[in-house]
Amino acid sequence: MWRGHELFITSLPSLVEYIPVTLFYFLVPTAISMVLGTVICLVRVGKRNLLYWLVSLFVSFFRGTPGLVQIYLVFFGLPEIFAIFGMNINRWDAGIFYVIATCCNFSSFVSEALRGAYGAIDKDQIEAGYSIGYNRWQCFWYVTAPLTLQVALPNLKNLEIDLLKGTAVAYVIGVVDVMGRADKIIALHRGYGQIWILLAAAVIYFLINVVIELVFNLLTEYFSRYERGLT
Amino acid sequence: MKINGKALALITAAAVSATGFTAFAEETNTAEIVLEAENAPYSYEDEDGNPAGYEYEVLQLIDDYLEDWTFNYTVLDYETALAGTTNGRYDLDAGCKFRTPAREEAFLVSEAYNYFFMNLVVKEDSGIESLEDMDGKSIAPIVATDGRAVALAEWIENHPEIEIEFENLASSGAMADEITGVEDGVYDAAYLSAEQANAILEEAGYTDLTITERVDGRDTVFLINQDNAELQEAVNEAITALTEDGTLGELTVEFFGEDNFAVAEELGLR
Repeated sequence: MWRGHELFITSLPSLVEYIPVTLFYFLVPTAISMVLGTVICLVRVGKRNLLYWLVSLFVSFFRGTPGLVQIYLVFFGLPEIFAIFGMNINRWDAGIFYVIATCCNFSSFVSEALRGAYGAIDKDQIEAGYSIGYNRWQCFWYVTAPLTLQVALPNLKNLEIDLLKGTAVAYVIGVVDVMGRADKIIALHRGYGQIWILLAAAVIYFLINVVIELVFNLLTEYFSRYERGLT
Repeated sequence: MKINGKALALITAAAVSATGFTAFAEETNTAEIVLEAENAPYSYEDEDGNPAGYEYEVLQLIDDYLEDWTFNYTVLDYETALAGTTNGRYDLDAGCKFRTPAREEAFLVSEAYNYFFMNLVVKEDSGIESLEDMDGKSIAPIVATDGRAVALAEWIENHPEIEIEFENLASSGAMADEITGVEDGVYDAAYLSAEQANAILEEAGYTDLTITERVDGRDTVFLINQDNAELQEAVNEAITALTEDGTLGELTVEFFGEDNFAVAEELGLR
């Protein structure tokens, strides 16, 4: 049980060094997916034209297949597609493939969280926006977006926590973040004490998730600031 | 449009270097090499994140020998390396691979660049010295795609009179776990090389385990993508030359303390 426990302490500093890398692979897909997810959501709540069906197929595929499979598909499949056009992208950093795969996956989930939240908001509020002279953009920015975000935040928080934990599989294509580094340390020790090295990585992921929860709790409070005292 | 002398010189230099580059690119083949990460001292990534191990050293020697080839290296986990070489993303997979019928069907296989000898790790008081002593006993499981599993399965098939309890794993496990299984009394033996076993025993500090004499051996080969016969031919040419002039034998002495090629000859593996 306690075999190799010293590796918990000795591996921790080395794992901590890679926190910025893990945060990079968490924050970059988050930023891209929030934008892409919003665009997908806008298409999905609009008219049922060809774009609607194409986007729906995209969302359905990326929500309905395992994330690890998607990473492999992008890692191995994308170079094949580029090769058709005579381009060799095999030397691209593995992280680029991870970000592409994760953005496709995560934006699909974000779009559905936003779509559900949009469906739940009181549409009279949007009408009220137009009635005081807001144009379409102003109504979206000052009324629809804040109300949708307020409803979507608890769901987005769960998705963000999943996203962070999902970075732990990036190592399979050679991305060296906290989990990637843990994997390398385990390999250097031929698996000896791996449970302790993994535990050290788990503690780091847990602490980052605590911060994510705190940030989302603050955001939820911020977006609900006008509702305080109404109940 | 006026072009002054300096600009003309720059354009000419750029054109010459571009032409030169193109000519270089046409003459030099590039091979994407994938090294398996979890296979020290054969292939792994060192503390600084650089490729390391015997396989890496051999590949560097081959790269130096082949003037018209350049090797790029990536270190990845076992399954991804295999999948990437099958798919063609990588041209050559290096990870201490045995020659097996399935691999010969799925890949182009190089000449042998090393020999891998298996030993048993057992309890000191077990009385086990060879696979023949394992009748009615168990060996710690190994992933089915590991050459050791194939070699052991072959040995068991060729010795029906000896019943060894051995199961394959669905995905790769840690070698240290195989030895820990013996230490904990879950299995009677672990089946791996003396180099790997020694490193684990030293780190874990298990004092009641011992490593037997060699019980089996296999040559190890590189797995090359099926569409890259040109690379296979070049690598084979280099391996043959480096084996004949004794370079690879010397490298095995450096890594494993003895000339594996000479030992393989003694054991009838060559």
